Amino acid sequence: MKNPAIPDVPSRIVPRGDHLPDEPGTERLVRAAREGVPGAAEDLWSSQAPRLIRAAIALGVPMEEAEDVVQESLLSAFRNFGRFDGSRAPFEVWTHRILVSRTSNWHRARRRLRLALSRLAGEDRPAAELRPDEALAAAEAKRTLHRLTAGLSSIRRRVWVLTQISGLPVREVAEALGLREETVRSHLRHARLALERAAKEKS
Amino acid sequence: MTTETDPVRQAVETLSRLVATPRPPRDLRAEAGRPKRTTLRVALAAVLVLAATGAWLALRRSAAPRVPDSPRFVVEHLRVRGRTVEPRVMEVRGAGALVLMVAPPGVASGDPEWTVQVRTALMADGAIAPDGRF
Repeated sequence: MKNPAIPDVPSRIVPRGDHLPDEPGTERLVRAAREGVPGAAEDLWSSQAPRLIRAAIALGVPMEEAEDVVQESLLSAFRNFGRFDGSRAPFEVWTHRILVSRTSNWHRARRRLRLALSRLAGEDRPAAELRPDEALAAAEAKRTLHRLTAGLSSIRRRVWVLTQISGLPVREVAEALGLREETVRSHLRHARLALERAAKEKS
Repeated sequence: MTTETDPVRQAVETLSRLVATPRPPRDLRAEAGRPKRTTLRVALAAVLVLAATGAWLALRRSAAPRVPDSPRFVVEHLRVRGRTVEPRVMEVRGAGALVLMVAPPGVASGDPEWTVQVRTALMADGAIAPDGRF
């Protein structure tokens, strides 16, 4: 039962329909998927995908590639389901850990690809088909995101994204990234300061 | 979080709204897979087997033919890789030793792989054939 005296945390972007890390619904789905209950794996997939999309975008994957990166991450999670140990961390931590790894691989591959394509004209991948107003909003959002997060180191960006965009608790972010909790808090503090500075400079 | 970082959130929200959420494949299932420890054990066992095989092959390849101690068996039991070979006399050095040139099994005797020095005291009487073979 929700206590009305405890306000929602406004800093977390968790739209309606998403599962919080400690929400028992995910655990139920994980158990059902493990037991092979029809539809459970699909439901579990659908419960993870939207949040992973946001995390991928916040981690710097362009919107044109985010769907592929998240798809690969989820496929990897389901292929290696036997390795998931729910007693160590919730399923969200497992999927985010895979996403962070895939995103890192993606950035490396992109650097290599850029080198290979540097001699060719029109390196940019064609944008997804958007309406003009959507394309405008996307372009502005990309600029903002790039401008404000460009100064963040990759580890601080990961910490900030997993705690503030994906809403994972510090303890689980530490587990996902293989860091100590104090280190996560320190990175988070510095990331916030850097983002605030960048926002002030922008305004 | 203060409002200074809200533009980042808004940008993330705007972009993620425009991205198609990947749909699960039709045959999606949670695959049992092997636990990581089991996979590591299997990999370790495979490495050990390969290392042992490699070491065995290396030893087998580099092992020179053994010369038996008994004078009776110098010629008859000079074996290479489990097969009896016919060494060819190449040279007699001084009075104390006989140098044999040994070809590996299945290879022409003119293409020797090892040279074995045998004390002449170990040679069987009258075992040297007229053409230099035992």
